[in-house]
Amino acid sequence: MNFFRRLYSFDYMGHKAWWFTLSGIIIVIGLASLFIRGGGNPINGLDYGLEFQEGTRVTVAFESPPTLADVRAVVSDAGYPGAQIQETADVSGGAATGFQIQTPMLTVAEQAELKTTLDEAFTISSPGGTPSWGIEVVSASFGRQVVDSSLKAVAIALVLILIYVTFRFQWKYAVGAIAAEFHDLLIVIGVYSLTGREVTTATIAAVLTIMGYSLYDTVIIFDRVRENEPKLVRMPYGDMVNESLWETLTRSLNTSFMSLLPVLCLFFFGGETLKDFAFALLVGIISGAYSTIFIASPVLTILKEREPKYRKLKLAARADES
Amino acid sequence: MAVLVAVSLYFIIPPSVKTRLGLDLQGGLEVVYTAKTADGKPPSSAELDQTIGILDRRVNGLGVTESAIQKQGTDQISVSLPGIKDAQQALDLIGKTAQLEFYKDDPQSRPVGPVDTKEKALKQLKREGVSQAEIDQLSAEGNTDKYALVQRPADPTTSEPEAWYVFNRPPALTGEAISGARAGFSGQNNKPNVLIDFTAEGSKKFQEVTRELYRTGLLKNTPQTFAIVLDNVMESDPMIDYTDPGLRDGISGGAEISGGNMTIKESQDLAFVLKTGALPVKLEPTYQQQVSATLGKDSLDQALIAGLVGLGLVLVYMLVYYRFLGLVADLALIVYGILLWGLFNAIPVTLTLPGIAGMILTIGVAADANVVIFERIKEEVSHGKTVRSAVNSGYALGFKTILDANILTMLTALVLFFFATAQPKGFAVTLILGVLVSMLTAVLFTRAMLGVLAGFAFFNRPSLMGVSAGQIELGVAAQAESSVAASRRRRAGSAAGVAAPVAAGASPSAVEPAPTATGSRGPSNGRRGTGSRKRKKRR
Repeated sequence: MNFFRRLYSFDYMGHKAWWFTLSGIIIVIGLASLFIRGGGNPINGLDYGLEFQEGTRVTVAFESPPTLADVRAVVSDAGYPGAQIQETADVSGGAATGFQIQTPMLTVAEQAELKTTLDEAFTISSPGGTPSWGIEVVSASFGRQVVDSSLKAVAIALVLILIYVTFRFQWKYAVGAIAAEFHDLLIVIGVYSLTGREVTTATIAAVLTIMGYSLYDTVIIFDRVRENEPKLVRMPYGDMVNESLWETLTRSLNTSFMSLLPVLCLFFFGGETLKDFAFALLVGIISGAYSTIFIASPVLTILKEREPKYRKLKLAARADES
Repeated sequence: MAVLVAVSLYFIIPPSVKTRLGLDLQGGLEVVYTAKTADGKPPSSAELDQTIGILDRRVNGLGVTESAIQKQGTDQISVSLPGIKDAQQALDLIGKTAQLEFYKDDPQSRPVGPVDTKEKALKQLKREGVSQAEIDQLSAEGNTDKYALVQRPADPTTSEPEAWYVFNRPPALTGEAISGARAGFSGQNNKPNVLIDFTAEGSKKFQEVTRELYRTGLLKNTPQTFAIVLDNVMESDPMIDYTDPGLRDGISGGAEISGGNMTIKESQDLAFVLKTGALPVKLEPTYQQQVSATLGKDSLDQALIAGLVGLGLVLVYMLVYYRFLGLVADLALIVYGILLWGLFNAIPVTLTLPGIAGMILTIGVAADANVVIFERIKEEVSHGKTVRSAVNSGYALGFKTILDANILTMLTALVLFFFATAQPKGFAVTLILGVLVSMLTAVLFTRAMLGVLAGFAFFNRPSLMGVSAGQIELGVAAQAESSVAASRRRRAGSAAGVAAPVAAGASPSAVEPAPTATGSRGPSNGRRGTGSRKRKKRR
């Protein structure tokens, strides 16, 4: 319990350098992974989902599940020797093993042909009269569009956050919040590169959500800092931020934990798409909770302590101690 | 409030009827088309709207009930057909341009053809002195302002190989001349065909064309043909028999398409697309998603389980951590859930998988609002306020924080809504609605509940708020202490030996207790900040 008590009395601002170093190390590991996996080009260091490329993904379940090799042979004979094929559990409630087959982009006629070929070879299961046959086709132009709009969305979200926090608080607070945002973004990207998880449109949606939502606890703490600023005028800024952190620590942690609970459920019980969402949300919420205390608040403190008033207070405090 | 809940319940029950499921949950087909004009340019807004109108007619003809056809950006149209049985047929029919054209098949109208490959046709056109740029465009798009590249497919019955032509545009007659089309059988060989009816003007033009062909045939003493071309494929090339004096004044009334080996189904499909009209643009599928009904049902079940377990865990956690207030919060969460679901069905919002993910995330957001308000109330109580006034001021102060935090969440959700492609859009919609409803619940429900409860005598006990008497004492002491004194004390750091117990008590950590914190501390861990850190170093 001593540990918990110390959480409420720990000098967070005094250890800025440690937090920055820790985050720096994690981010550098992530970036290194991006560069290494991308063979020097960090853009290639992530596994992009079908939506970002060009191709066709078929999800299908068969009456009597064949082996992966059988399916591969049939698909190869059908004219797609380069197809990526994997088994998935999430077709037909686990009653039949499903397969995911990724091929180059197929026309409507080619899709029908592949379906007939597979049906003849293994009989596509069709509970309730409709065959277990799902297909997703993405053209290169669509993929480019997804990338473009995703990047634009992230940039615009950052600008809006900067404007709103400046408007409601002060630009120094906004810089703290944005620093935390970049931190979270880099961590999420790094984790995706390290784990090799597929980046899908769901991931992008989750990342954007995190950009807004991870500021929940940041706002809680900043709100208190703003409130305490005029009350504790004679206190060095860092101490005052510490004070504010201790005062709001429970609610910051509780709000993060409260959103983690349902997201964890999504991760464990949801299907493939939901798992994608949940994983990015999970990483984002944890990183967001961390960056509120260890990035946003210290950055605010650093900026504020450059103001003459707080510089004097800080120097006076140092003089007192020595 | 009760009314709102009742209305919501009305919209929810029974859920199987009143909740709209997206095609990823009930199975179906979604196609995003990119539109181009016949010669490959981006379409005008009017052309796109016209296309949507025609697609709408085609989709209705397929008998799909909940279809949605939407413009995306400046040149894309998304068609979503939830619950559709025959996705293949839909794909075949919807995106077909169905641009029907009639060309006179004579040397004046046909600079190239017939030759046996596309490359030969283009090469021959090049020799005619046509620029490479125009050839490239013709090769890629099939049409330019001046030319149309037409393929005649191989005919297995007569074992005639495929052939390629280039015709001069504009054609003698276009699809605009058609008033109707129906599938039937040819009178000559009883094979399936499509009969075309012309409009009054179309009929006149068609008669003119056929009369000219008859006369040319008579002059040259060879029978003349014309080509009926659908989307750059020659469907049939009827011959005008110049020896038949009945054709002297041309053909009036209608025409017949009876090319090759049409099956009955093909003739029906062709009649269908001709009847619904030609699209003013070419549609290329850029994204297509087809989900089977079983796959959709699985996803829905998994999402519901995840959502219910998540909700359950949050309810339990709130109850365990905030005790009586937690009960208020739990009720608020349940009310929130009912309102949100009711709102979705009332609008109605089509629920997709990402949408459900957004809903589940907002459970957390709704709970957060309660956490912030309750923590604030506890704080106020520990500062010695009566429960009633603590509820009031705590609520007011807490709500301010919630507002800022939620606006930031909604800002990014809005950005997502405007920039995202179809799928994450559903996520953004539920997130925005969820955050709005959660604030509404916080204002209307939590606030009212606390207000009513604060009126009862039994409620006026700090212990119900999870605050012990000892914490209040210390909290009040901290408040009483002037900020200047507090600041001095902190700066004094290790020197303030006497003040240490008070300083420990003043620790707001007592106000924000870890679950088992008692609020009394020894001097050793009571001092904080730079002071205590420095002191440890000196030890």
